[in-house]
Amino acid sequence: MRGTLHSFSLVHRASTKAFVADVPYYVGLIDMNEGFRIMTNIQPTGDREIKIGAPVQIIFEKRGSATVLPQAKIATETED
Amino acid sequence: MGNTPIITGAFATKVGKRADSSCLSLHDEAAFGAIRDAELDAREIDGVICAYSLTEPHLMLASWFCEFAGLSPKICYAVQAGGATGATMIMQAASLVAAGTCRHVLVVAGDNRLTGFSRDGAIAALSQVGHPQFERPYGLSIPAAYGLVANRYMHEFGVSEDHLAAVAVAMRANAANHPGAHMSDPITIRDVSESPMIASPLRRLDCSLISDGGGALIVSAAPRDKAIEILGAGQGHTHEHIVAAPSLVDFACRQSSARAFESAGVKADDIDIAQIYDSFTITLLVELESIGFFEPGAAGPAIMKGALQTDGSFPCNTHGGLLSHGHPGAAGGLFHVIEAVTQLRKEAGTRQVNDAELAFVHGDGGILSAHCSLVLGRG
Repeated sequence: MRGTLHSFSLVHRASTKAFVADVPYYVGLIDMNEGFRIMTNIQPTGDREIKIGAPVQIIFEKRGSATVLPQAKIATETED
Repeated sequence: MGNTPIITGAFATKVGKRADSSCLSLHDEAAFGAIRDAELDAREIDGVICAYSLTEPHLMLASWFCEFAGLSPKICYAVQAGGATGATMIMQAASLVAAGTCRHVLVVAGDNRLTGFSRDGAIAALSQVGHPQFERPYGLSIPAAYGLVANRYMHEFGVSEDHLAAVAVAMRANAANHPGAHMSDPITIRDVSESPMIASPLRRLDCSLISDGGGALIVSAAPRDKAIEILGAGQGHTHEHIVAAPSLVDFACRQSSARAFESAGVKADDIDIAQIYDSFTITLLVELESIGFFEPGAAGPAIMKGALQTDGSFPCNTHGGLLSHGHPGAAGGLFHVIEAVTQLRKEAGTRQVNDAELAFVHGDGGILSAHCSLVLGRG
């Protein structure tokens, strides 16, 4: 699944204790090609710049035993 | 409309660190301050509207406060609309008076957010407004939600971080003229840009304060000296969670203010002074432009030239706003109303704006989600 980065923020002060170990972490709003908007974290990938309008690829990550969360990575124009 | 609703009493407690205070004691101090200001006997209060508390959450805060204060009104309940609560309480009180249901409605809020619990506690409590499935799992804080708005707004309209910083500097300069402000030491754009990053692009000095304090007003039916008329009011609602917002650059403050202007029979250009919710620097900047006081992208450069100060082209938040005067929750929204009343009464001392006849007040709750606007004028 792919989309476009609508906006983002790099969070330096965690919302709750559960996220303290993750700072700084990106939160972004992604406009999916299918036509809806989601919030995810954006995982930095090499030197691909995290900027508004960048294409993103959605991956799914397992968190604990019963939870799977979408996460985003900045994509190149050509990769699937 | 039957009775024209007027504001006969207004009182703000000292704001900041109030180690001796509780949620209810701040309510009490503010309420009786406003009752005295209106020259009323407490037994004449026949309506009481409260807001909510984070330090002493209660299902029936208004009933608890009336019990605490020894009031037995005909009408009593609490209102919750996040940062729009203050203006919404006034709009609701005006409706009760206009309908003839009440003659003197006490609107009161207060919280000891600074000393009532830890800063982490306050931040965690506020983070609960994030959507449990679609936002909180990603660590969305309130500053991060406003950071999403800020980055998009800056991208679309060429707003810079210095423009945001100028809002913080202006609010601090205004707070220096108010003896009750929480923070009054001057700051510079450099101070803002060197303060710790909270959630990009927002730094600590882009964020409102966490304060103890309370505020109250009396909305009455009977004409009185010192009375300020509630000429118009309106609301706008598009979403709660930022993930569901229809736009990150266009918010319901546009509809809310348009409804308030229409009901008052005035235009944005007619307004002499404004008191507009400023939970973050970006909040005030977006609202100034969305409401139409400035063209998109024009507020920042104007603010850098002093537009929002008492002697500026568009005096706004002359008490210093949530960013510097203080932010004890719902009472913070009432401070905007109280400052408008103080200015219209010509009682603002060194920060008095000349010829202040028509005031605009705006509150917004959530992430620019729930909006309420008021137009007040000298009776």
